[in-house]
Amino acid sequence: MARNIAIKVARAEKDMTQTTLALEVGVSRQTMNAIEQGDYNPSIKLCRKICKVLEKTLDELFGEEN
Amino acid sequence: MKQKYEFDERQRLNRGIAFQYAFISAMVTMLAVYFLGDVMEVDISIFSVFQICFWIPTTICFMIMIIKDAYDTVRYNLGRIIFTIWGVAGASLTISSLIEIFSKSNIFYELGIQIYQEGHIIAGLCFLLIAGTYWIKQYINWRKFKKE
Repeated sequence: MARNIAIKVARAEKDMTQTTLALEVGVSRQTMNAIEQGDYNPSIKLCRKICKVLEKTLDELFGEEN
Repeated sequence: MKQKYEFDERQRLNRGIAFQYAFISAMVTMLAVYFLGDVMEVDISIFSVFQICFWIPTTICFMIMIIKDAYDTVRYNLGRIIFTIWGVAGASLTISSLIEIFSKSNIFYELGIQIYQEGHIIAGLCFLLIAGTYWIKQYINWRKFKKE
């Protein structure tokens, strides 16, 4: 699975670390890392939570081009 | 910020995999102990059978959970305390069992047929393996995330 660069960029825009984003979303740091690395495919529920925290749309973070 | 004391979806998935492997290894261990006891006629005490059948699948379960980062959540420090105690307990159990075996004159009672301490050694080694895996994983994670 390809890396999710969009999350990393959106996180950098909001000046958040993986740890803080993970805490905001309610998952472990390792899970957030796995999502960014493309090692884990999150559920729609978790995708929506990440989008809400990063103030992005599903398409922006998890669209085809990502 | 509200802290969550539950496992996230990836961790729940990996914990399920860990329990699945533990179940399979429990069956394999019981089969192996049966062959060792009834087919090869090795005299193993009931206590040791219990220790072997309990601790080997438990160790496999814990190791998969630790390797897949499905053990710790926000209760990070609790895991550290638990696994430090496990490591110390494992070391003391293994060392005391080895001392007891090797201090006896009839070592392994005719080449390993009658060993009373094998259960303790297995349990001790399992404890050490779990604690070792945890601390190695902690070190790997520390190296992985220290850039942040």
